[in-house]
Amino acid sequence: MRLPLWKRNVIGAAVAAAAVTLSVTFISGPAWERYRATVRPAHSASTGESVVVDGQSWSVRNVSRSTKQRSGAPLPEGTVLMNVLVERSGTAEAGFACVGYLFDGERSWRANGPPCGAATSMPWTFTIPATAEPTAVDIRDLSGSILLRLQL
Amino acid sequence: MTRPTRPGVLRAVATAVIIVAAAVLWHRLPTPDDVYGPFDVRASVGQAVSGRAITARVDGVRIAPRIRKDRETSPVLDAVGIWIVIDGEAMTTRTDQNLSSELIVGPNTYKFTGRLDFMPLAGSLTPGISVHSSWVFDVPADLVAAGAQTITLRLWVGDGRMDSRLVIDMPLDDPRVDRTDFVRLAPTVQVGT
Repeated sequence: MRLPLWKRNVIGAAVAAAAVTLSVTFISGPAWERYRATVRPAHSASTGESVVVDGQSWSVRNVSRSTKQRSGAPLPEGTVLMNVLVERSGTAEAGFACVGYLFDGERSWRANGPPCGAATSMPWTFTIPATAEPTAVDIRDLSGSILLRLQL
Repeated sequence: MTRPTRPGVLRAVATAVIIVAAAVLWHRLPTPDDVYGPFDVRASVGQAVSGRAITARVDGVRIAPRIRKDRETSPVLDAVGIWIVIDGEAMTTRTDQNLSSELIVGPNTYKFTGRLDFMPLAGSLTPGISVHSSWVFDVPADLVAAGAQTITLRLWVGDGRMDSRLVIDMPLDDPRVDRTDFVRLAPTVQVGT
């Protein structure tokens, strides 16, 4: 017995819709989410506040600008050193590899030095153009996903 | 045998047209390399050029068989072929990223030399802080013998897929191309913008 044309079309459309759904759910959807995580922070805290992520509390303790490096050597012309002290609660074992970035709404600058890890107090320095006005510090994992954004 | 009906002929012709159009389209598809390839932004010597995440400018080219970095204690290095030193500046515009470069000379593509240890324009660039330094390549001397040929520097950040790539053409008969016996690299200068 042969089904009428409209029924065969409905079956074809249903199979195609199922294929698209599977593809979006398991292939393009996760890839899109991974990209979004590098653009939009998973957690954020406004100025002076702390944020709790996975049982650890993160906050910005101190922000300052200096015109000389710690060694006393001068900085390149037109640049300043921005010092941001980020602290987290919890044990050293609870630490994970992360990288600090300063963010000004458009651009971001990676913290000088190695990635963070076990330390609970992270005195980051950033070499930035003197004209830049950073508004937040981001904590990213090594894949580039923004775990949290602390407004300065 | 039944005679073909008018709608039947129309259907057959329409099917043939669609199949031919599909075949033509198939043969004109870009290669996968082009589908994911970079978007070239072309410029010439002395011209500032900007892509999505990077800006650069080439100020001049020096061609010499021997080279030394700016420190007096640095060794003088003889090229296997001849050194091409491209003086210029580059900066990222969005975030800290490593700059990749390659030089096209005749039919060949060359990578930044690895013999000079650290060179800032082969490393990480910072948004808003422009780095003035040099790109240095070791190429066969006969490919850059005096003449009117053009060499091309390509610059990009990230893996280069579907992102802008700066392509700077440098004709070797340009007055900003200098042929000497010895090149001393200038100290790197960083300037916040």
